Amino acid sequence: MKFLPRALGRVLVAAAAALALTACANAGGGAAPTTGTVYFGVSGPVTGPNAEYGRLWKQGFDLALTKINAAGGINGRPVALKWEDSQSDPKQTVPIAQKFVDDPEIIAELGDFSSPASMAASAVYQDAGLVQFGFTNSHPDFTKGGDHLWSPSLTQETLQNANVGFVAKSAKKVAVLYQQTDWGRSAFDIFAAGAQRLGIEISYSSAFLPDSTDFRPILINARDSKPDAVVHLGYGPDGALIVKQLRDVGFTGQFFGGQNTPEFLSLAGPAAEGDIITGAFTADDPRPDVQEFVKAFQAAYRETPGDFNVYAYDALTTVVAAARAGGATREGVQKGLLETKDFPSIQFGTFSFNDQRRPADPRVRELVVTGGKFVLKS
Amino acid sequence: MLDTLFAGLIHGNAYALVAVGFSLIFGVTHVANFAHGSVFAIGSMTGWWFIAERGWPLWAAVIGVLAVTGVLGLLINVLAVRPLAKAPPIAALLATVAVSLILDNVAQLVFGPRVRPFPAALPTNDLRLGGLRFGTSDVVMFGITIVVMAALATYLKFGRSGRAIRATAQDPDAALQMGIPVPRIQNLAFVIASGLGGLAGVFVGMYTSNVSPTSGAAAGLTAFVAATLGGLGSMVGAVLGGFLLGILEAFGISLWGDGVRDLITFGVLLLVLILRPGGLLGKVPAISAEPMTGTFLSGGREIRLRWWHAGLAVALAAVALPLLADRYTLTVAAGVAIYAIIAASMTLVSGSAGQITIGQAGPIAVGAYTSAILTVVTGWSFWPALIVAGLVSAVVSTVLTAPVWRLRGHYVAIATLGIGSVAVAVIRNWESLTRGAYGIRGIPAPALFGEKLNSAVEFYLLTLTVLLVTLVVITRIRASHLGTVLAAVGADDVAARSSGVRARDYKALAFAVAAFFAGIGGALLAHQYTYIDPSIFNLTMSLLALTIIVLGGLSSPIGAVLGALILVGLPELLRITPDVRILGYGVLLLLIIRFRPQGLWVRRAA
Repeated sequence: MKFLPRALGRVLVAAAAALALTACANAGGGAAPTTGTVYFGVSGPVTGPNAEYGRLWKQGFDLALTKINAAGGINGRPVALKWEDSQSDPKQTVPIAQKFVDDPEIIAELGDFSSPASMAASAVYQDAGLVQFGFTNSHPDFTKGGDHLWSPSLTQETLQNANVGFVAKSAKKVAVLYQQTDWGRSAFDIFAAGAQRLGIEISYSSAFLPDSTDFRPILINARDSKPDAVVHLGYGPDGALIVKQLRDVGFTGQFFGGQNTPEFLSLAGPAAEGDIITGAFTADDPRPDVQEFVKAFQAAYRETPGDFNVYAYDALTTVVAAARAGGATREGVQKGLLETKDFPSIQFGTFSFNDQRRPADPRVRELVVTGGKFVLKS
Repeated sequence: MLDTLFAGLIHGNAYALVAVGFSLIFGVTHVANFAHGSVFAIGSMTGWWFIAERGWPLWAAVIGVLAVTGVLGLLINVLAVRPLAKAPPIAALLATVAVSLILDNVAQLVFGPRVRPFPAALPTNDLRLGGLRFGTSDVVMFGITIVVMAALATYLKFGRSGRAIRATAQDPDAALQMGIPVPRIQNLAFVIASGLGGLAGVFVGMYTSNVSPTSGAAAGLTAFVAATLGGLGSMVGAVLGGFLLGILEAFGISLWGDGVRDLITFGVLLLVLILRPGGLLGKVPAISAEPMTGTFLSGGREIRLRWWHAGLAVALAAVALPLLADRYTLTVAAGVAIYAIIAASMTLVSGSAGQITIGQAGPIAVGAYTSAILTVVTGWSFWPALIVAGLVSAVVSTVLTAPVWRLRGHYVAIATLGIGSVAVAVIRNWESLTRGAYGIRGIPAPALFGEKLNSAVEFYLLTLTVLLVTLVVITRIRASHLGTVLAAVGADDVAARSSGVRARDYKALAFAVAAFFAGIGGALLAHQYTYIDPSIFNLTMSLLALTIIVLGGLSSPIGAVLGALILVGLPELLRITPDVRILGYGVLLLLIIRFRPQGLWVRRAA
């Protein structure tokens, strides 16, 4: 050990010198090839606790790919994806971002799933001028990190203002339970402001941790505050637990919440009947585009599609449409996203992006669980 | 009020079942079995499969689950724990971490990643007692728990092999001399404990109705806490701890909301450890063997590095790598360097002072948040923020851990786990300062002489420089008088104190130094990610830091660098096999621990 410190000290100086010398590094990968397959990078959870979402994405992407390539890809060039498993872990999304940025074949990136994982990588994408299409990132700050960060995900602003409007139709006094994450927290703040505006009293509210399994202590309090309805702001698994345990503690009033996924419906079972949720997609939507999608999906996977399948399907459709309009390059995707005014989508119908790089005036609807399915509320 | 108590009892019931198994294994093998939660998860998944997919009745499913998890327990002991009997206990602990990675991923491959509805085998809401509502399901679970606990207690008290289990728990060497086949008894303990874990999996499935292959981590952690509350190794204590935790959580959550659940869980843990070191019913070991005692000297010595080796390595890292490697590799390398900074400083605590910490995510989070808040909110520049991040982390950690150093053995490690979790829970709930769950965005890139260091090469060289400074400081400390004193404390606490060394203060000092560098590492992470939120600083991060130094060799800073290279770099390298990437990582980790339990950069003592 005796020599080590001195040796290290010496090379320290060398390292510092190297650091100073390497003032500028070359930016961006090489030029994108102009023939052959066009690639999009996907950074998402294939393993780990969020792997279910990765599975749902893959179904949506694969279906979209089939349709896109059957229609001639991007100006005659076939489209394919390059997947990297991030486990939705920021430790892994940053290197993945660097990998995608340095791969000249990739013209835009899709993902990641959770906001911390996406936002940790945003700076790398932004600096390299590669579009990061965070299609599940509803975090209010996600697109504020730079002009190459886009998200078709509905902001809580849109979602919760609509939600509170639907709640107001049947309740004057509500108990609210929200997930203690960036998602749930922002949902609650906007919901609470809306409730005050519409004269709805919040008789009880509590945050809950995403990995909680026993909600009875807070549900008992919620029940005892005698609300007209209980509102849940969170994901599918916790929504299912809450609605079931809510019935177990004896609350019989209206429930608003859960998630527009087959997983939520199967987990909650009969307890979800009558649940009202704010969403953009329902398999019942009579629009021909939607019906064609639902049929193709059921033929391919023998399941009813849910929100996350649709998000993935729409996301790929959108970036491909942008590349068709602006050109199959990184700049082309950015240009296409900026200039295209009529992106086709399953969720919203035709839409364009506003100056926040979020959907402009998206259409949201009131869905109600009837006979174990989400249907449009009449 | 009564409702809440009742909810707490039912939930505590489930905690108790998992905790008993945990405590049983700890009692007999002195290994904190981190795979216990995974066994629990597999129990609930196989239970779901038997009932929902195969249509078995509940009783048959329970027997099936007992068989599956029992065999699993046997395998864990035979393949992972038993071969490490002669190695330091921390090696076995780490082997169970690797096993839990493997089990979780196998379960995910077998059952699929989605959350499944556990079929309602019995009604959950059909009984009324006054204003209370509960189900046949709850009554049956409670009944079975009482029966199982009574049977276990009787068996341990009067049964032949039951008494052998207790004897082994008391003193394995003496038991062996009295003709008790200790290895077989340990197998038996693993089988019983894992069966109980599986049973708990089924019960919790029936109670909460959502089961998933990844639910094990949370369950295992809570069981760990419950078992510690009651006193590790004490069955009655584990049951008591389970119920107590269930009830306290229920009332705490009822009062303050579920968002502070982990604050309650770990706050209770810390309080009990401070007031009653050794848990409610556990005995404070009279002849206290620190878990690391002796391992520093007899477990092997660090392989010495000649100066030109060091020079060559640094030249490779600082000059050759930036010139040859692509930016992806450099980004990974920066991550490796940051974890090496965190881990190398931990060798002072673990290798020298002989204390294990499983809560390093706490100091890392404090450092990351300090630097983020200073640069984003108050507009400081990077360098002063970096230093202050280290200092704040050191001060906060010193204050929080002050009561911990009078604890002994495994309890120190558990207390650091509690402190790490409490620190992160406070960050999550202190919204006015930390923006809570929203996280902090737009953390600026480091700058040097006005130049932004945001390219992959620059950031890598920055982290490498900080790593080298860390290594110099740590090796200097270890070579100094202070290092000798620390080593004395680690090698023999009692002897050190007899010689007038204030062991507690020195342990605290070593921890403060480690926390300083953890804070620096956290700040670097924050500036690399540019966005942080509390969910980043989880138990996985703490375990990763610990795994790195165990893998490298507890007393070797160079080993820590090597460990970081393997543990942070390997998952990236394994991207060639995406489906089984994390599974392969677990298997490799297990093999490395199996064949080099003393650490990679340590020579086994003759």
